Amino acid sequence: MRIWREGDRSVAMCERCRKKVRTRFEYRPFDLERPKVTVPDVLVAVCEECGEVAGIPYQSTPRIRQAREMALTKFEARVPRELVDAIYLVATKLETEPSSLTSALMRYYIHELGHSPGLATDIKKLAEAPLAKCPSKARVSVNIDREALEEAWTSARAVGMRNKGEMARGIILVATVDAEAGDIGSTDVQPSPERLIGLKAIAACSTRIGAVPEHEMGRAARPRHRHRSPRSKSKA
Amino acid sequence: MGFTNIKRAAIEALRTGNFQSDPDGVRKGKNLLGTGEVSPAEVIALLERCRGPQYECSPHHLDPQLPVHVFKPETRAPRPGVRGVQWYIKLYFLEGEGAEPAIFMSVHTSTTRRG
Repeated sequence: MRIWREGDRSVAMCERCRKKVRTRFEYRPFDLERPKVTVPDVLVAVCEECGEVAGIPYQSTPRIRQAREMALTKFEARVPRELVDAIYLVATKLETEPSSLTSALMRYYIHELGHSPGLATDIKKLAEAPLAKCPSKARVSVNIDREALEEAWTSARAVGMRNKGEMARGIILVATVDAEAGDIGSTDVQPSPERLIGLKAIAACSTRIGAVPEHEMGRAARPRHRHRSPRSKSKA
Repeated sequence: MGFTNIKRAAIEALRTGNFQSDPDGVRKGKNLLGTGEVSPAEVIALLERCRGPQYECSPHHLDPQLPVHVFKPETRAPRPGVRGVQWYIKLYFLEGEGAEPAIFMSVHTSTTRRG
Protein backbone atom coordinates (compact mmCIF):
# COMPACT_ATOMS: atom_id res chain seq x y z
CA MET A 1 0.00 0.00 0.00
CA ARG A 2 1.61 3.24 -1.12
CA ILE A 3 2.04 5.93 1.54
CA TRP A 4 1.78 9.39 0.02
CA ARG A 5 3.77 12.31 1.38
CA GLU A 6 2.76 15.94 1.72
CA GLY A 7 3.82 17.64 -1.48
CA ASP A 8 3.44 14.55 -3.68
CA ARG A 9 1.42 15.06 -6.83
CA SER A 10 -1.37 13.19 -8.53
CA VAL A 11 -4.41 13.85 -10.76
CA ALA A 12 -8.16 13.86 -10.18
CA MET A 13 -11.44 15.29 -11.46
CA CYS A 14 -12.19 18.58 -9.68
CA GLU A 15 -15.89 19.31 -9.05
CA ARG A 16 -15.31 23.06 -8.81
CA CYS A 17 -13.11 23.36 -11.93
CA ARG A 18 -15.27 20.75 -13.66
CA LYS A 19 -12.29 19.11 -15.35
CA LYS A 20 -9.26 16.91 -14.84
CA VAL A 21 -6.64 18.68 -12.74
CA ARG A 22 -3.29 18.12 -11.16
CA THR A 23 -3.43 17.68 -7.41
CA ARG A 24 -0.99 18.14 -4.57
CA PHE A 25 -1.21 16.24 -1.28
CA GLU A 26 -1.69 18.41 1.80
CA TYR A 27 -2.79 17.88 5.39
CA ARG A 28 -6.11 19.61 6.03
CA PRO A 29 -9.20 19.33 8.24
CA PHE A 30 -11.92 17.39 6.39
CA ASP A 31 -15.64 17.87 7.06
CA LEU A 32 -18.00 14.90 7.11
CA GLU A 33 -21.75 15.38 6.74
CA ARG A 34 -23.04 12.41 8.65
CA PRO A 35 -22.01 12.28 11.36
CA LYS A 36 -21.35 16.01 11.29
CA VAL A 37 -17.74 16.05 12.37
CA THR A 38 -14.53 17.71 11.24
CA VAL A 39 -11.59 15.34 11.01
CA PRO A 40 -8.33 17.20 11.65
CA ASP A 41 -5.07 16.58 9.81
CA VAL A 42 -6.29 14.45 6.93
CA LEU A 43 -3.94 13.98 3.99
CA VAL A 44 -5.99 14.95 0.94
CA ALA A 45 -5.29 15.60 -2.72
CA VAL A 46 -5.95 19.29 -3.36
CA CYS A 47 -6.67 20.81 -6.77
CA GLU A 48 -3.71 22.96 -7.75
CA GLU A 49 -5.99 25.38 -9.60
CA CYS A 50 -8.74 26.12 -7.09
CA GLY A 51 -7.60 24.56 -3.81
CA GLU A 52 -10.64 22.24 -3.42
CA VAL A 53 -10.20 18.71 -2.09
CA ALA A 54 -10.35 16.41 -5.10
CA GLY A 55 -9.20 13.07 -3.72
CA ILE A 56 -8.53 11.15 -0.51
CA PRO A 57 -5.78 8.50 -0.38
CA TYR A 58 -6.49 5.26 1.44
CA GLN A 59 -3.92 6.07 4.14
CA SER A 60 -6.35 8.75 5.40
CA THR A 61 -9.23 6.29 5.77
CA PRO A 62 -8.34 4.96 9.26
CA ARG A 63 -8.26 8.54 10.60
CA ILE A 64 -11.65 9.27 9.04
CA ARG A 65 -13.07 6.03 10.40
CA GLN A 66 -11.80 6.79 13.90
CA ALA A 67 -13.38 10.26 13.84
CA ARG A 68 -16.70 8.79 12.69
CA GLU A 69 -16.64 6.20 15.48
CA MET A 70 -15.79 8.81 18.12
CA ALA A 71 -18.72 10.91 16.95
CA LEU A 72 -21.04 8.02 17.67
CA THR A 73 -22.99 7.88 20.86
CA LYS A 74 -24.00 4.75 22.76
CA PHE A 75 -27.70 3.99 22.93
CA GLU A 76 -28.56 1.52 25.68
CA ALA A 77 -31.91 0.32 26.91
CA ARG A 78 -33.22 -2.36 29.22
CA VAL A 79 -35.60 -4.74 27.51
CA PRO A 80 -37.41 -7.96 28.47
CA ARG A 81 -35.53 -11.19 27.79
CA GLU A 82 -38.52 -12.20 25.69
CA LEU A 83 -37.63 -9.38 23.28
CA VAL A 84 -34.07 -10.62 23.04
CA ASP A 85 -35.62 -13.96 22.05
CA ALA A 86 -37.63 -12.06 19.43
CA ILE A 87 -34.41 -10.64 17.93
CA TYR A 88 -33.03 -14.17 17.78
CA LEU A 89 -36.18 -15.25 15.93
CA VAL A 90 -35.78 -12.36 13.47
CA ALA A 91 -32.16 -13.37 12.91
CA THR A 92 -33.16 -16.99 12.35
CA LYS A 93 -35.85 -15.94 9.90
CA LEU A 94 -33.32 -13.82 8.00
CA GLU A 95 -30.66 -16.54 8.20
CA THR A 96 -28.05 -14.50 10.00
CA GLU A 97 -26.30 -14.45 13.37
CA PRO A 98 -28.18 -12.63 16.17
CA SER A 99 -25.00 -11.03 17.51
CA SER A 100 -24.31 -9.53 14.09
CA LEU A 101 -27.88 -8.45 13.46
CA THR A 102 -28.88 -6.72 16.70
CA SER A 103 -26.84 -3.53 16.32
CA ALA A 104 -27.57 -3.21 12.61
CA LEU A 105 -31.28 -3.76 13.23
CA MET A 106 -31.45 -1.10 15.96
CA ARG A 107 -29.47 1.39 13.87
CA TYR A 108 -31.67 0.78 10.83
CA TYR A 109 -34.93 1.38 12.69
CA ILE A 110 -33.56 4.37 14.59
CA HIS A 111 -32.50 5.96 11.29
CA GLU A 112 -35.89 5.18 9.75
CA LEU A 113 -37.73 6.51 12.79
CA GLY A 114 -36.14 9.92 12.36
CA HIS A 115 -38.10 10.58 9.19
CA SER A 116 -41.11 8.28 9.35
CA PRO A 117 -44.13 9.33 11.43
CA GLY A 118 -45.83 6.09 10.37
CA LEU A 119 -43.03 4.01 11.87
CA ALA A 120 -43.14 6.15 15.02
CA THR A 121 -46.82 5.33 15.42
CA ASP A 122 -46.18 1.59 14.91
CA ILE A 123 -43.37 1.64 17.45
CA LYS A 124 -45.55 3.45 19.99
CA LYS A 125 -48.39 0.94 19.52
CA LEU A 126 -46.13 -2.07 19.96
CA ALA A 127 -44.38 -0.49 22.95
CA GLU A 128 -47.78 -0.93 24.66
CA ALA A 129 -48.02 -4.63 23.76
CA PRO A 130 -48.01 -7.15 26.64
CA LEU A 131 -44.64 -8.57 25.51
CA ALA A 132 -43.07 -5.14 25.91
CA LYS A 133 -44.36 -4.93 29.49
CA CYS A 134 -42.52 -8.03 30.74
CA PRO A 135 -39.79 -7.37 33.33
CA SER A 136 -36.75 -5.80 31.63
CA LYS A 137 -33.93 -8.08 32.67
CA ALA A 138 -31.81 -7.79 29.51
CA ARG A 139 -30.16 -4.90 27.71
CA VAL A 140 -29.47 -3.85 24.14
CA SER A 141 -26.65 -1.48 23.31
CA VAL A 142 -25.70 0.10 20.01
CA ASN A 143 -23.33 2.84 18.83
CA ILE A 144 -25.08 5.32 16.59
CA ASP A 145 -24.45 8.86 15.38
CA ARG A 146 -25.91 11.48 17.70
CA GLU A 147 -27.89 13.25 15.01
CA ALA A 148 -29.77 10.11 13.97
CA LEU A 149 -30.57 9.30 17.59
CA GLU A 150 -31.78 12.84 18.27
CA GLU A 151 -33.99 12.84 15.18
CA ALA A 152 -35.43 9.46 16.15
CA TRP A 153 -36.10 10.61 19.70
CA THR A 154 -37.83 13.74 18.40
CA SER A 155 -40.13 11.55 16.30
CA ALA A 156 -40.71 9.21 19.22
CA ARG A 157 -41.68 12.01 21.59
CA ALA A 158 -44.01 13.46 18.98
CA VAL A 159 -46.17 10.31 19.23
CA GLY A 160 -46.05 10.23 23.01
CA MET A 161 -43.18 7.88 23.87
CA ARG A 162 -41.85 8.73 27.31
CA ASN A 163 -38.40 7.16 27.39
CA LYS A 164 -35.85 5.51 25.15
CA GLY A 165 -36.48 2.11 26.70
CA GLU A 166 -40.02 2.30 25.37
CA MET A 167 -38.58 3.21 21.97
CA ALA A 168 -36.18 0.24 22.01
CA ARG A 169 -38.88 -2.23 23.03
CA GLY A 170 -41.23 -0.94 20.32
CA ILE A 171 -38.47 -1.15 17.69
CA ILE A 172 -37.74 -4.80 18.47
CA LEU A 173 -41.41 -5.72 18.20
CA VAL A 174 -41.85 -3.79 14.93
CA ALA A 175 -38.85 -5.66 13.52
CA THR A 176 -40.47 -8.92 14.64
CA VAL A 177 -43.69 -7.98 12.85
CA ASP A 178 -41.89 -6.80 9.71
CA ALA A 179 -39.90 -10.03 9.49
CA GLU A 180 -42.99 -12.09 10.40
CA ALA A 181 -40.68 -13.89 12.78
CA GLY A 182 -43.16 -14.59 15.55
CA ASP A 183 -46.67 -14.03 16.88
CA ILE A 184 -46.50 -11.12 19.30
CA GLY A 185 -50.21 -11.19 20.07
CA SER A 186 -53.12 -9.14 18.86
CA THR A 187 -52.05 -5.95 17.06
CA ASP A 188 -53.19 -3.80 14.17
CA VAL A 189 -49.58 -3.04 13.13
CA GLN A 190 -48.99 -4.56 9.71
CA PRO A 191 -45.65 -5.82 8.35
CA SER A 192 -43.99 -3.27 6.10
CA PRO A 193 -42.64 -4.75 2.82
CA GLU A 194 -40.28 -1.78 2.43
CA ARG A 195 -38.78 -2.20 5.89
CA LEU A 196 -38.49 -5.94 5.27
CA ILE A 197 -36.33 -5.23 2.21
CA GLY A 198 -34.10 -3.07 4.39
CA LEU A 199 -33.98 -5.77 7.09
CA LYS A 200 -32.96 -8.44 4.59
CA ALA A 201 -30.22 -6.20 3.21
CA ILE A 202 -28.71 -5.49 6.62
CA ALA A 203 -29.01 -9.16 7.57
CA ALA A 204 -27.12 -10.19 4.44
CA CYS A 205 -24.46 -7.52 5.03
CA SER A 206 -24.04 -8.28 8.71
CA THR A 207 -22.97 -11.85 8.12
CA ARG A 208 -20.96 -11.27 4.98
CA ILE A 209 -18.82 -8.43 3.81
CA GLY A 210 -18.34 -5.60 6.25
CA ALA A 211 -19.59 -7.34 9.41
CA VAL A 212 -17.88 -6.61 12.70
CA PRO A 213 -19.53 -8.64 15.46
CA GLU A 214 -20.18 -6.65 18.67
CA HIS A 215 -21.12 -7.53 22.17
CA GLU A 216 -24.57 -6.08 22.45
CA MET A 217 -26.25 -7.99 25.23
CA GLY A 218 -25.85 -6.71 28.71
CA ARG A 219 -24.62 -8.84 31.59
CA ALA A 220 -28.20 -9.72 32.52
CA ALA A 221 -28.60 -11.56 29.22
CA ARG A 222 -25.49 -13.72 29.54
CA PRO A 223 -25.77 -17.24 30.97
CA ARG A 224 -24.83 -17.38 34.68
CA HIS A 225 -23.52 -20.91 35.01
CA ARG A 226 -19.77 -21.47 35.07
CA HIS A 227 -17.78 -24.61 34.65
CA ARG A 228 -15.24 -25.09 37.43
CA SER A 229 -12.43 -27.58 36.99
CA PRO A 230 -11.96 -29.85 40.02
CA ARG A 231 -9.08 -28.78 42.24
CA SER A 232 -6.74 -31.38 43.62
CA LYS A 233 -6.89 -31.41 47.44
CA SER A 234 -3.91 -33.67 48.04
CA LYS A 235 -0.58 -32.14 49.03
CA ALA A 236 2.81 -33.55 48.23
CA MET B 1 -10.84 -1.89 -22.64
CA GLY B 2 -13.59 -4.39 -22.01
CA PHE B 3 -15.25 -5.59 -18.83
CA THR B 4 -12.61 -8.21 -18.02
CA ASN B 5 -9.69 -5.82 -18.33
CA ILE B 6 -11.42 -3.04 -16.41
CA LYS B 7 -12.30 -5.43 -13.61
CA ARG B 8 -8.72 -6.70 -13.54
CA ALA B 9 -7.38 -3.13 -13.43
CA ALA B 10 -9.73 -2.18 -10.58
CA ILE B 11 -8.71 -5.24 -8.58
CA GLU B 12 -5.04 -4.52 -9.19
CA ALA B 13 -5.51 -0.91 -8.06
CA LEU B 14 -7.08 -2.13 -4.82
CA ARG B 15 -4.48 -4.83 -4.32
CA THR B 16 -1.54 -2.45 -4.76
CA GLY B 17 -3.17 0.49 -2.96
CA ASN B 18 -3.01 2.61 -6.10
CA PHE B 19 -6.42 4.21 -5.57
CA GLN B 20 -8.05 7.24 -4.01
CA SER B 21 -11.59 8.08 -2.93
CA ASP B 22 -13.76 10.82 -4.31
CA PRO B 23 -14.26 13.25 -1.38
CA ASP B 24 -17.98 13.77 -1.99
CA GLY B 25 -18.77 10.09 -1.51
CA VAL B 26 -16.73 10.00 1.71
CA ARG B 27 -18.38 13.17 3.03
CA LYS B 28 -21.89 11.79 2.46
CA GLY B 29 -21.15 8.25 3.59
CA LYS B 30 -21.79 6.73 0.16
CA ASN B 31 -18.21 5.53 -0.24
CA LEU B 32 -17.80 2.81 2.37
CA LEU B 33 -14.28 2.12 1.10
CA GLY B 34 -13.32 5.73 1.78
CA THR B 35 -14.94 5.79 5.24
CA GLY B 36 -13.30 2.52 6.21
CA GLU B 37 -16.46 0.48 6.65
CA VAL B 38 -15.34 -1.98 3.98
CA SER B 39 -11.77 -2.90 3.26
CA PRO B 40 -9.97 -3.10 -0.11
CA ALA B 41 -9.92 -6.89 0.28
CA GLU B 42 -13.70 -6.93 0.65
CA VAL B 43 -14.18 -4.75 -2.44
CA ILE B 44 -11.85 -7.11 -4.35
CA ALA B 45 -14.07 -10.02 -3.28
CA LEU B 46 -17.11 -8.16 -4.56
CA LEU B 47 -15.46 -7.33 -7.89
CA GLU B 48 -14.36 -10.94 -8.35
CA ARG B 49 -18.00 -11.95 -7.94
CA CYS B 50 -19.10 -9.52 -10.64
CA ARG B 51 -20.17 -10.85 -14.06
CA GLY B 52 -20.49 -9.03 -17.39
CA PRO B 53 -24.24 -8.26 -17.17
CA GLN B 54 -23.57 -6.58 -13.78
CA TYR B 55 -21.22 -4.03 -15.33
CA GLU B 56 -22.01 -0.83 -17.13
CA CYS B 57 -20.07 2.15 -18.36
CA SER B 58 -21.23 5.74 -18.71
CA PRO B 59 -19.62 9.15 -19.29
CA HIS B 60 -18.34 11.13 -16.29
CA HIS B 61 -20.66 14.06 -15.55
CA LEU B 62 -17.72 16.49 -15.81
CA ASP B 63 -16.03 14.97 -18.86
CA PRO B 64 -18.06 12.98 -21.41
CA GLN B 65 -14.82 11.50 -22.75
CA LEU B 66 -13.99 9.94 -19.40
CA PRO B 67 -15.67 6.57 -18.83
CA VAL B 68 -17.06 5.82 -15.38
CA HIS B 69 -17.25 2.11 -14.57
CA VAL B 70 -20.11 0.79 -12.47
CA PHE B 71 -20.05 -2.73 -11.07
CA LYS B 72 -23.19 -4.10 -9.42
CA PRO B 73 -22.30 -7.47 -7.92
CA GLU B 74 -24.72 -9.33 -5.69
CA THR B 75 -23.71 -11.16 -2.56
CA ARG B 76 -24.79 -14.76 -2.41
CA ALA B 77 -28.45 -15.34 -1.57
CA PRO B 78 -29.08 -17.29 1.66
CA ARG B 79 -31.11 -19.87 -0.27
CA PRO B 80 -32.56 -20.39 -3.74
CA GLY B 81 -35.36 -18.05 -4.65
CA VAL B 82 -34.16 -15.31 -2.28
CA ARG B 83 -32.18 -12.37 -3.57
CA GLY B 84 -28.80 -11.52 -2.20
CA VAL B 85 -27.69 -7.96 -1.53
CA GLN B 86 -26.75 -5.77 -4.46
CA TRP B 87 -23.62 -3.65 -4.19
CA TYR B 88 -22.77 -0.58 -6.22
CA ILE B 89 -19.13 0.16 -7.00
CA LYS B 90 -18.40 3.20 -9.15
CA LEU B 91 -14.92 4.25 -10.23
CA TYR B 92 -12.87 5.80 -12.97
CA PHE B 93 -9.27 5.80 -14.14
CA LEU B 94 -7.31 8.80 -15.33
CA GLU B 95 -4.50 8.98 -17.91
CA GLY B 96 -4.70 5.37 -18.99
CA GLU B 97 -5.93 2.46 -16.93
CA GLY B 98 -3.39 1.49 -14.28
CA ALA B 99 -1.01 4.41 -14.82
CA GLU B 100 -2.67 6.76 -12.35
CA PRO B 101 -4.72 5.93 -9.26
CA ALA B 102 -8.20 4.54 -9.67
CA ILE B 103 -10.70 6.96 -8.12
CA PHE B 104 -13.56 5.27 -6.28
CA MET B 105 -16.66 7.45 -6.29
CA SER B 106 -19.16 5.13 -4.56
CA VAL B 107 -19.05 1.82 -2.74
CA HIS B 108 -22.32 0.93 -1.06
CA THR B 109 -25.23 -1.46 -0.96
CA SER B 110 -28.55 -0.63 -2.52
CA THR B 111 -29.95 0.22 0.94
CA THR B 112 -26.89 1.89 2.53
CA ARG B 113 -27.94 4.63 4.94
CA ARG B 114 -25.83 7.63 5.56
CA GLY B 115 -24.13 7.97 8.89
